[in-house]
Amino acid sequence: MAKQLDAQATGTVCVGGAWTDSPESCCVCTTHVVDVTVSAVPSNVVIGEEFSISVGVQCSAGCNTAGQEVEIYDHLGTRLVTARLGQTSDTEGSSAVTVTLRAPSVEGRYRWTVRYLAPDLEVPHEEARSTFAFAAAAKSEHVVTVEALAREGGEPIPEARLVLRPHVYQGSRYSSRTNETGVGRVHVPKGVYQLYVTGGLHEKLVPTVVVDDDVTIQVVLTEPIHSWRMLPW
Amino acid sequence: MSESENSQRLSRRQFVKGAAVGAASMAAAGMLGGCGSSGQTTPEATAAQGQPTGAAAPWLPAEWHDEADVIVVGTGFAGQAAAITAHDAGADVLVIEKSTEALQGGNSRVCGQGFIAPPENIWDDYFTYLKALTAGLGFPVFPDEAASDETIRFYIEESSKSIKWFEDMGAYVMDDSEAMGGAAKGLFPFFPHMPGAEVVASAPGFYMIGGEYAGPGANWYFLEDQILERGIRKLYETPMTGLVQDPITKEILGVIALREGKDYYIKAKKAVCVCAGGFEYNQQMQRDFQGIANNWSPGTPFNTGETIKVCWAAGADIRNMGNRNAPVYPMDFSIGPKAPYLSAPVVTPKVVAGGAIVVGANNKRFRDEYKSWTTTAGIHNREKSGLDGVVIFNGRVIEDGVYTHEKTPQPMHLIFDEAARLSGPLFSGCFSVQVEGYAPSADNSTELEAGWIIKADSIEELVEKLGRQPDPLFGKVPLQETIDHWNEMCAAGVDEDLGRTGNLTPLEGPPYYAVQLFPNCVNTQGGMVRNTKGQVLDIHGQVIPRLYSAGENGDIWTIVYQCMSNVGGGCYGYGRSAGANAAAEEPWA
Repeated sequence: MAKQLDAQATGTVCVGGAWTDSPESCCVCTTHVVDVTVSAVPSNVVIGEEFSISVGVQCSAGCNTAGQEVEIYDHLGTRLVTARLGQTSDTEGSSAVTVTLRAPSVEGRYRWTVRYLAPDLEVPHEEARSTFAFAAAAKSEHVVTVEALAREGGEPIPEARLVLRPHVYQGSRYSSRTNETGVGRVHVPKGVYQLYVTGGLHEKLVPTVVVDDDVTIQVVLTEPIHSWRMLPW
Repeated sequence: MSESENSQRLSRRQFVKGAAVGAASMAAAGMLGGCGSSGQTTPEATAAQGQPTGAAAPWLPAEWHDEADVIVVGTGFAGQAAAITAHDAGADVLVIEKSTEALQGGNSRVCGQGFIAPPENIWDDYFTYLKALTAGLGFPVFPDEAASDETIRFYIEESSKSIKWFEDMGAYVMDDSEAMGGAAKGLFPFFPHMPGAEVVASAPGFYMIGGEYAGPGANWYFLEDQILERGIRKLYETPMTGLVQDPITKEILGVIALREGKDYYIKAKKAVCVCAGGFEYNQQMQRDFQGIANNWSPGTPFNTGETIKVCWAAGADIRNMGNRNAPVYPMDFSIGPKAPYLSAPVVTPKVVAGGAIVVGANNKRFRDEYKSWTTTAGIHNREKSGLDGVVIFNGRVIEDGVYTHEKTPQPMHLIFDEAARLSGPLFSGCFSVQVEGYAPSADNSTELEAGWIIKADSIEELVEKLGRQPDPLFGKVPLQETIDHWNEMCAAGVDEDLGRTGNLTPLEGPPYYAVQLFPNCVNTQGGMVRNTKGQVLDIHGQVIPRLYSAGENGDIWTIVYQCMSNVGGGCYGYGRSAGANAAAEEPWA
């Protein structure tokens, strides 16, 4: 305890952790907190094929985590890969790595885990983890081209949101936006879909879009944006 | 028959053969009274089928085909909430669903997605308001579990927790103004003349999921992703037909389901959560409990009420069976199920051009076809609320100062002319459109070709095809007389009979068209009585051990209903409570 008081008196700080108060470890600054972030996760990946994610690690005390390791675990808890973090120039103490993974062979939605291994450092660091979710589906071999037209006058609607969802929903959905000419393209696997288009103050649900080749659809947004929200339940 | 990919990839499917039960067993359903269609049997019949009987626990099956800690019945909001919560509490969860995988999700998948979530600073006023609503709005309703103070407070507080629940799972939650802009203004509360309503009106009426999920079914798809990401196992095309129950302790030990045409016994080591919705597609239950025949819903066709009967047979008390939520005529009428769709589409009598009227059993018009909750002084208008003749959104009209069902004098027909047929799509739907893929045609030609619309080249032919010959005994006037009278009123510019002001256009033909109309019941409210833990209570108010329920199969609404309330309270609130408490049970085996 005396050493801790000495350290505090000299202005030594325990960033991201706390001084312990047990006699045996009175001078030990407890574990630093570490954040793990996962980014650049594709919303849909192709079953059995490789895809990449970005993993970032940040020590709250600004410790250099470059060179340390993260592990990726699948939904069954199986470790898939161990990756070494590299230095980033963004923030002091931050590190990152791009990890290539292989998608599951079965269609569905998955949540996997990234685990930061607490290294054996002078000041201990908390083990940290984060999760990321994605849908695994068949390869998107076809293009659905949607031309979104306004309710009045038939002028094109730019930036309209297009969402295609399979009738048998297993977690994958495909989205895009229209360009300045009101045309948007969505890449999807063969299948039967529901198309939802929303832009400006209007929307339109196309109940069935059968995709067995490239498809072009003209959609006139006839309904007010809130129409389905008025369904009386 | 299908099983979710989750379970396949997790390899968690377990067939537990030769369970640690002695040699003797019998089908428990036989003891519960005949429920369902899975060939549930008496002990004698079971013995005759080769299953031994007579051991120390003869209510147990000879063989369990599957097992889980918690079995959740149903894939709507309540089932999703119960399954996620039980799973996150560490339970091994199995969800069983009556429908195919493509058609799962119940009414939750197609409803407006709004859920109430009163902020804490208005809880007391919301309590006052809900207390008044569930007390019957004029009807003397004796206090019971459904309307107890504890229940209503639980309902409000659990509803409010839904925002954080969603956000903790990563959802973007938006309030009604963000979701609907000005369109939401004045919608809530539904009953502005009730005590506490003014304060209730000061907060957002409801919330829903936005962001990347924004759109039809937003909340359901978000929660479904949570189910999928957790690898929660599901069995489709596996309706619950009975419960395995200890006849002495009344404890629920498992579920009897129908799978591939055979009884399928699933051991529930901790509990069963029944979240299988109401009975909109059980015409017998609607006749018996609601006094309405031919009552069809635009929602899921899989809400057939058997699970309520199964729980009833297991000793559950039931409540609110006479309450239903229905769009008040003339918002929309059902046309009943039309192949190839299982869920009934709806039709509007409010054609934008051409002549159209609705006639009832006596060939007479019976209400302003254009009067609707959005455009007329309904209950949303505080100044007019409480007045006789005022209609409210959810299937009630005020008569003699109290709320009663809207009149639906069947058989009813919408009769219209060619200009009306070509004026725009008359048909729409909820489940049929959003899940089954029905796309209404702009000129109603598809529906005409499919036979949904009856066509005639004269009034005489129409009368013949509709069976609408006059009959003085029942006051059934000639249809021609009603049409002539309507056309005369249109020429005069005044509907002197019913005060209709919208589209006073005469019916001009031939040809003439007709569509048969049915009452449109959106959802029922009745089902099992439960406490705030989600435990199902028997007729003596005692807990039926290990039996839980959530959702619209036993909500708090007695006489009226405020839309989006049982989503927040009955489904999410009770679903989480049932899931958490079910997961906390000590396993019996």
